[in-house]
Amino acid sequence: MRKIRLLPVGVAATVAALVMMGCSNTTAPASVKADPLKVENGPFGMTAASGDPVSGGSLTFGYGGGIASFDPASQQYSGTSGGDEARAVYGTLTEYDTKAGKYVPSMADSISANDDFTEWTVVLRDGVEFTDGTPYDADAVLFNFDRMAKSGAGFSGLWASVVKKAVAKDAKTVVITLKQKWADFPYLLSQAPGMIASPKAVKDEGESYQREPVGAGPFMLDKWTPGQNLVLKANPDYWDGKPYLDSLTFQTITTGDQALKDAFQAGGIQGSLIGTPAIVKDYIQPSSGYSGYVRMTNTGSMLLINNGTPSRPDTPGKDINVREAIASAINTDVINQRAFDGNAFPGTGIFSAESQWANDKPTFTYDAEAAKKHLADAKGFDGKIELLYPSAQAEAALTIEAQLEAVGFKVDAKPVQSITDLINAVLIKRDYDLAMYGWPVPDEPGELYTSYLERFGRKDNQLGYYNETIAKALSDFAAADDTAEKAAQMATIQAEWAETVPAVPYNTTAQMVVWNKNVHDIEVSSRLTLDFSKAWISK
Amino acid sequence: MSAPETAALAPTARPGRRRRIDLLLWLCGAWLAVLILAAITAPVLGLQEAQDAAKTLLEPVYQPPSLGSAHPLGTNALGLDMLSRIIYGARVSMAVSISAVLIGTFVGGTLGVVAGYLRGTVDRIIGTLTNTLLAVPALILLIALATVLRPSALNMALALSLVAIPGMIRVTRANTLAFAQREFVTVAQALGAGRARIVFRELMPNVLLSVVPLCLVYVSALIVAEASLSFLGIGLRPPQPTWGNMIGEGLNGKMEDYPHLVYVPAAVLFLTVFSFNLLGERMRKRWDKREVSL
Amino acid sequence: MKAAAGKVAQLLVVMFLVSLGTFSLTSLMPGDPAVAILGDNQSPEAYAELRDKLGLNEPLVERYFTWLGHVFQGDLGTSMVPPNEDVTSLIGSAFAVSIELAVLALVVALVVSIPLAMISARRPDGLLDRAASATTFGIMSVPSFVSGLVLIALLVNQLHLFPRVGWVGVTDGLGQNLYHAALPVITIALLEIPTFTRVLRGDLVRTLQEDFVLSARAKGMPAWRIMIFDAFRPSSYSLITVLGLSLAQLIGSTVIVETLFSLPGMGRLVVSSASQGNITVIQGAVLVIAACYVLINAGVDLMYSVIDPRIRRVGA
Repeated sequence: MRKIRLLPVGVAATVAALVMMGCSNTTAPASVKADPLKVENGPFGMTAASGDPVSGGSLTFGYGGGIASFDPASQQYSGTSGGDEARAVYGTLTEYDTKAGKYVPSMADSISANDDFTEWTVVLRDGVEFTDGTPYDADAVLFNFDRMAKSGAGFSGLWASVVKKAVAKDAKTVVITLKQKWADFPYLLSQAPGMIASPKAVKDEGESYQREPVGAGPFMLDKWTPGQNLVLKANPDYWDGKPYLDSLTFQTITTGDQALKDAFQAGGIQGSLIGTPAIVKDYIQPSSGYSGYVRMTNTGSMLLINNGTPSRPDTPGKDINVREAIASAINTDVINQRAFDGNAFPGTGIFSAESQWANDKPTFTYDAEAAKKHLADAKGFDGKIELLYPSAQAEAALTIEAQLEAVGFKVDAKPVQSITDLINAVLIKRDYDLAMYGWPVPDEPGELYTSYLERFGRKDNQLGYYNETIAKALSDFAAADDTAEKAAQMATIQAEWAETVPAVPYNTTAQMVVWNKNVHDIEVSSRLTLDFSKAWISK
Repeated sequence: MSAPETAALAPTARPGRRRRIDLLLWLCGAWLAVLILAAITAPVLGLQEAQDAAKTLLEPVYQPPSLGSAHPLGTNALGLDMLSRIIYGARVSMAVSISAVLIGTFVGGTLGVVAGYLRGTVDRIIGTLTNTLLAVPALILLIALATVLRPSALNMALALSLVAIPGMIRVTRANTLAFAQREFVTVAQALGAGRARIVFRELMPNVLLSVVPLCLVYVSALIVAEASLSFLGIGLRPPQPTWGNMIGEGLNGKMEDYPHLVYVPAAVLFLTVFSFNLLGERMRKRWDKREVSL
Repeated sequence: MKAAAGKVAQLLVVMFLVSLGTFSLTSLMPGDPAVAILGDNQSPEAYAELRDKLGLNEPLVERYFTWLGHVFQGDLGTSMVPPNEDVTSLIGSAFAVSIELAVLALVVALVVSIPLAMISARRPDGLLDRAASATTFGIMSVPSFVSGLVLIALLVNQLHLFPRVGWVGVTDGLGQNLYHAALPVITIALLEIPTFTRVLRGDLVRTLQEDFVLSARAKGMPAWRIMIFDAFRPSSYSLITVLGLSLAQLIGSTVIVETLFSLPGMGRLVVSSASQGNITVIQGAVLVIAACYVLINAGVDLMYSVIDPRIRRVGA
């Protein structure tokens, strides 16, 4: 009898399975690409719920990160890192009304400023208590301000540079005096500094407070396994009424946006935060069946140029000709094509096309000939330059490397394993020539000012760049309450930026919070932090 | 990833039955031969660009495989040619794994033979070292080494050899215990040969020959280990093509739109690992038979 | 007795070397807890100050022996990164996940391998035997990250049978727990099935040629009875050994599967701590993994020499 050969059959079957796995996934995304979808700032897919809010149910949000510590004194939360969780437990004194574009009181009853925005008065609500029964009063707020200022972490640095003093006028009024004019100061109180912890719990619990928080927000801690999931339950005594949701779970999923998307579709989570352009474009379509909020951020992807820091005084980028050559060599459309499959939002201006601060001042344009000419003008430069990049962004980095080499640079591209290492090299040691870095900054004035102040508005920054005009425009931006006035300052910055080339933006990034259509009334505040106090699920 | 269990492979039940030509063995051998030949001669094959994205700015990106075209296996996100990356990747993967096994066999083999022949304190010290290496899971050890060492091919080979060493020590030690009883050793001893001579001239050649099948299995295991590290993003760095890097390129949602990014390197990886495993297994069977006939 | 004491001493030396090796290696790792704690918005001085506070500027040897001293008092310390949990409890929860995954995977592997090996051994080189051998051979050559991706593509994305990620502890309901564990367990089991099948098949084939089996067969006992009641037990010694070794190796070595499915096991604990430079956690975790390996190995050794008749035969 002729023997049937089974091993080859097995091999063939396995190869076939591999091929099948590939093919079975080929859903047709081509149509999406053929018709590029415009992504705009703001809410999407919101449908008016039929009927009144109903109580009950639990909601699970999946995040790539998760809250590290519940101690607001030492943290810089944001919607992408622990802000939602902390806000659910503490609430915030103020919040950013994304529709009106201004800061409004939240846990506080009111917040008001004197004429030149140097003195702010926060009035608290009557009868609000922490979940341990102690009063949420001026003393508690000052206790928290004080701890935060002394923590040496979180917002303490910014707080110290902006706030002169904070005093209690009476049991429910706090007056904060600033060192400068700042019309958007309430931004700080919409963040960790505005998250007030129970002084009693902080004192009693000591070191373990960060794991067992006590706040006065809409939810309270039920169960937390750091790195896995966090379960919060409704605070029955919340001042604005018990939340509709019985419980709120934050699930940590560390394997990237694709895994989040898979989990979303498999029903394991009902909401998420997404940054991958292709998925953002996919979800924002009306047919996706999701609703949520998109925030386009400015300077999301930057090619940082060292303009001369103490650790690298002779870096090539201290020569304006080299910086101009780099700016002219970059073709953002090619980067978009190769690194983001044409799904990203390329641009070389500080502000995205969607930004309310977008202006007609010049940005950088790709011009290889000009780049070569600038490079030739850079006297004494041999073309050798080092490029640091996070290894996860190899494709964008290799494209940038290729573009620089095409005009005559000799690039030594060095991947860094973790973001930690990149931060270490760029921000702490300031020891780099070129680095690919993320500076996602939204239009929201408070966050925009503080972010850019730290990055290029002050002397001794990570770029080793300082420009009087830009610094003044930024501080005038902060002092102004009028939007047109603010926009004019931003135009000044863009013009000066194009002139002096401190660094090259190459892509705007989109951040999206997304949830199922049957989830309603999640509010979005500063830094994409969500407010679940009125959220509900329709049956 | 566990160390390969060669001792566990099934014995041939009815020796002498496979007298016909083993087609699969030849296919596997042919695959490896072609792959190795292509890897060695890669620079003169006139392949498309595999590594330097500066040269592919005009090439199509994400082109699916199409046998008649300039890129028979397609291109990746940077317009680099997949066929060319597979072959250059083979160069890296095979060179790294094979040299790791050679290092591992030499170091592990020497230690194993010495331990098995000298016994006593030396045996105990080597045994403790072996156990120490084995007590840390191979992948964790590799991850630790990979984050500390600069990711070059040489460092990768050294790190991977640490995975092969303890297994090699154990097997060669056991084989030495058996060989040490054999006539040729006792004769040499009686003739007054020194210990070093017995270890290196009498025992080593015999013991090393007996671990050749194990070496083949280790090569396949280390190819997988290297790919795993690249897949986790801590092996050799892109744009250096390795099979693990290539599979890793297809993650983060790209696999859905461009499945060839994953299945081309995955299929090649599978065929290669399969071939090495099969070769090792068949060779071991042949060996067993010879042992029996001795 | 003396031999046993020697064994124990050797185990302790192994543990000492492992911890020393881990400590030196982690100190060379690039992660920095100060950056992990403070994020990217502080002044360079703040990082330096925090490193000092964490004791990271003290000499390595000093830190090692301080740590070792605490270990002898049963204290593995606290995590360097917020929320600064107790290392013992961190390891405890990760260990529970790893051990569950490992044990379930081994059970699944056995459930598949034992019948497969019996069917194969019944007619060595027969059609079924070669079919089984072909399959196991094929499976053996698929790396776990590839098989995991295939399973996710087919069972999660296409058929929606299993969840993509997440872990539910046994305490939160056995059903949910098994539902979440299923896919990772299958992926790990696939790694073990080929080995188990081949080991057991080999031993079964050998046993089936022994005299007592032949005489049972001559008495007209049905083949399946002989296989299960007579041949299986004496053929299972190597399998037990391999089983023990697999268990020891699986704890901590399933990093790929844990990464693929976002599971909070030992492997991921070590890897994520490494990226933060969270030395206390890495140290403790590697020590526990090594201790497991060493203990299970010692147990297997012991069992092997006690129950395997072939060892005694060789010794005699």
